Amino acid sequence: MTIAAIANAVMAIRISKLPDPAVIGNAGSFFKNPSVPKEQFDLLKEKYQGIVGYKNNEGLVKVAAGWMIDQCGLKGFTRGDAGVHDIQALVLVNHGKATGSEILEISKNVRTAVFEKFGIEIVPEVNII
Amino acid sequence: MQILENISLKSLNSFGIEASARYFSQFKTIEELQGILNWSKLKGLNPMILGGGSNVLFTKNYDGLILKNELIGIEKVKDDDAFVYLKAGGGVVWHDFVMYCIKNNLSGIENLALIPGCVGASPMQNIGAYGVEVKDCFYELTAMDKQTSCMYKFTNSECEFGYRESVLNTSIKTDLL
Repeated sequence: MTIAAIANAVMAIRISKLPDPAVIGNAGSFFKNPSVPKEQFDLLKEKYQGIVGYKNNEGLVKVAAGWMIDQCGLKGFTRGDAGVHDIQALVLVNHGKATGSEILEISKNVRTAVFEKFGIEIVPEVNII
Repeated sequence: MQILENISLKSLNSFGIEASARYFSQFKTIEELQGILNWSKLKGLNPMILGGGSNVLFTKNYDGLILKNELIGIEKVKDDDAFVYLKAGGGVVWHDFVMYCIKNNLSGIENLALIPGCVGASPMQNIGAYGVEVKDCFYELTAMDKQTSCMYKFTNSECEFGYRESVLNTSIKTDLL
């Protein structure tokens, strides 16, 4: 497989999953995927069999934040023009005239919901000014 | 050097948030950047650098100086048996850099195609996708101190890359090697 073919495959996946900022305002992944100790992940795995995680080098498991947000029923959630993207829940979106504070408010709601359900704190990847 | 006042940032952030900058300027050369920083220092402003505006959420107007990095250009520095070393300006659009590598049949960052933002921001948070991170192909960068205009080099290990992390969250990037 050529590198051009790999890049084309990556681009096709990204286009299918991520919103185009020219169409709908967003900053890509809003949250980082959190890392948790393996023991904590194993306990969560017993309760939520679909939980998605990848082992790190240091005995930690990186958990897919998008999956957790989706499990909280927040995929596609909107308030005013601010919301969670309806395909990739890791992305917050501006449907038109949302203010930065409204997006920030949504991000706090998402963080609280994830923490209450999974006991895991997720933090923004985006720089908040 | 041109300093603009009360500029809307709506078209400069990918969230499309309406916010304004008290002062705004852009630089195409390192000399231009130094001139702007000298002016900024006299005014006692805290400059903030903006690349593609694709990883920022403005929750209020910015009561300072926003600097847009327009350092562009990609050049080959050297090559050896294993690697080709490229140097790119911090203002180069990241995806354009990826496409440049592909066109020249240089492998390494093809998995990072279509990530929004600029080359200058890529090591700041060690961008990554599909199992590859910038740190895997990164050699070194040159950064400028916002206060002193001194330039510093950071090697791969000096960047202390982690997951969406590096030591670089306070320096202004100028260009990357």
